[in-house]
Amino acid sequence: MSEKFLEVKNLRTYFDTPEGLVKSVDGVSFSINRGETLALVGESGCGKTVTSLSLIRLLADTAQVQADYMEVDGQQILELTKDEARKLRGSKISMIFQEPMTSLNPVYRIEKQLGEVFRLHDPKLTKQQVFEKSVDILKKVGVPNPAERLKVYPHQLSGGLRQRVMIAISLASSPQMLIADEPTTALDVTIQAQIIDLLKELQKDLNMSILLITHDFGVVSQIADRVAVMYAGKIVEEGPLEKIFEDPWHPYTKLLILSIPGIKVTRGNRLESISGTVPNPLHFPEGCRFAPRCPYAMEICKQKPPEELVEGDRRVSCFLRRGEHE
Amino acid sequence: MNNQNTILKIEDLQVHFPIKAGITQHTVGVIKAVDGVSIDIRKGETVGLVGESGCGKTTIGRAIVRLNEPTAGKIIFDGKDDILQLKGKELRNLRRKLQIIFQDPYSSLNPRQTVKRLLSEVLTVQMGMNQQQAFERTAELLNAVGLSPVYAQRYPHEFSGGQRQRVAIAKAIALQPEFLVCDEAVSALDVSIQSQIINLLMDLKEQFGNMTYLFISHALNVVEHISDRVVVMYLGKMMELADNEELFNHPAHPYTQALLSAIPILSGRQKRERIVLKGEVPSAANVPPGCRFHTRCPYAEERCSKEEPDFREIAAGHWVACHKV
Repeated sequence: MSEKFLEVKNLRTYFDTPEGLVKSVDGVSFSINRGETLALVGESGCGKTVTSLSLIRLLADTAQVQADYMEVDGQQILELTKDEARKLRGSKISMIFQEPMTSLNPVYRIEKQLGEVFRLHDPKLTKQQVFEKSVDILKKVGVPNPAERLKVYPHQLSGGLRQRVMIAISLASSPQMLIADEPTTALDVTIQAQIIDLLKELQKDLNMSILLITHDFGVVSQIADRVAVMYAGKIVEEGPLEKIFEDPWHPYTKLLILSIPGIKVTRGNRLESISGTVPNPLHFPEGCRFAPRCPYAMEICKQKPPEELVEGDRRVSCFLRRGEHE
Repeated sequence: MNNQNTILKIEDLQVHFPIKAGITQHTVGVIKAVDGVSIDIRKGETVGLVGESGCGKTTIGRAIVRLNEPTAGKIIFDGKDDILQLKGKELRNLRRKLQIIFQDPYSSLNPRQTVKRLLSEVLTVQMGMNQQQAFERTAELLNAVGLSPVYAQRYPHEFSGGQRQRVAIAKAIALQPEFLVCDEAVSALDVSIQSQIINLLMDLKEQFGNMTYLFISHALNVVEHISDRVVVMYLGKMMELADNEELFNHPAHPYTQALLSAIPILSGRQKRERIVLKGEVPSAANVPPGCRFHTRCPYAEERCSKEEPDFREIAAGHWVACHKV
């Protein structure tokens, strides 16, 4: 059960821009077991999506991706050739994106886009077999009237159905891990609940690992086993879902949770907010990167970055928790 | 429902859009986006309007500021005129009192004007200020929404999403409106920024004295936080209306119950049984007969597919349209 499927150590993804080196991801380590869901949470621009794109080698050549160690199911990701990386994406890891409208091709029918996956994996399949497999998988993700839906174009489907088709396409290759980048952000709450239930069900059936990328703690609470909170290119806190919610150690995690209405703040009271914005990745603060926005910041926080503290199944990077003041 | 403090009275509002087809563009059908909605909104309160995409909540908001033309019904502002009959100068005067904030501040602000011009244009045209007064007022407004006045020289693209929404709010409150429609005003923002804007809206209400909000959103937790009363809409009709606490604690309509059960529950909260609705909202061009929710309702019986339920009061201030309640 606790077999590691993916392990990342000290991932650094830098972009060389005319203004300078942008350190989008700057030393991120985490692992995911088989059948487990890890949620990567943080504000826009903290490096969540770049982390996931680095994992499946989907970034352009201008990105400099380095890591001490990045292994998926026994394969070193960074040593793969481009062809092998494509095969990895096709077979072991799939990804669903935030906007199903922009990630489906508008000029092809669903049949063609979904069937392509099956044909690529097994070129010997007949037209009829591809059709049957397509109907099966659409049924599995809960698309009503799958045979008819195969004949339509993406714009003829509603947002929820489009997202289901996306999930069907990413599951067509029977991946062992699914990266879901804000899979429900664009959807209504009722549809969101359906999609989350679907993901949970499929995960159980296929013993799939899920890396969920989101800024919505509501979604996280529904599906994640563990939570990793990212800020300015680093993971600042990680641990099991309940512990993080009940007793967040890092001030950033705490403020993120308190800034959502309806969790711990009662109606009409002021919500916590985090003053300022995510720092510019060209000029990260010298000490702790959260210090300029942190209400508990001490002198030491501005001088050097805190080292990571590991306690049991949790880890955090914060001087407060370390009990260091000087 | 009649109340002396009513600031905005919506009576049987209907907004229908024709579907046109062919070279001759003849009408082949009608989308009933809003199909008979009546609400009284009291001075100084915040009314939350919730529902899934396509239920007509935005259409109501836009009808109030006359951005679309209703087919039938009345909207009476401050007990005087029917907004829908106003023209020319009278309409312009009314717009000073009624303002709207849109979801996407990037597309609702003119990209070629600096913030200073955006705001001072509103002030000179509508309030009759001269340039000097307008510039001074601009600085005050930016302060009020938590932006430094030095930002006045910037263009919309130079701001982050949250800052841009603050500019849009500054523009809306520049005229000191009595009524503000917030159409998904925080939906596009990150949670931390979202909380800043919610706090700002609540502060402004106190600061500017008795502003009334119609807060349109599909984010139920946000609506629960900010609203005094909540309206639940489905396919162009009101399903339920009640005080905030009453609605969230004792939802009567099956649709409201399903919606509330879909809110992700976090630790420390009582667990509700999750009701996952089957299917999606039917097309507004082809509204089901009888109760329009019966196709997805877990409790529907034969009567529901034939008779349309009345919108009736089941407890003081708690209105529901359902046969089974």
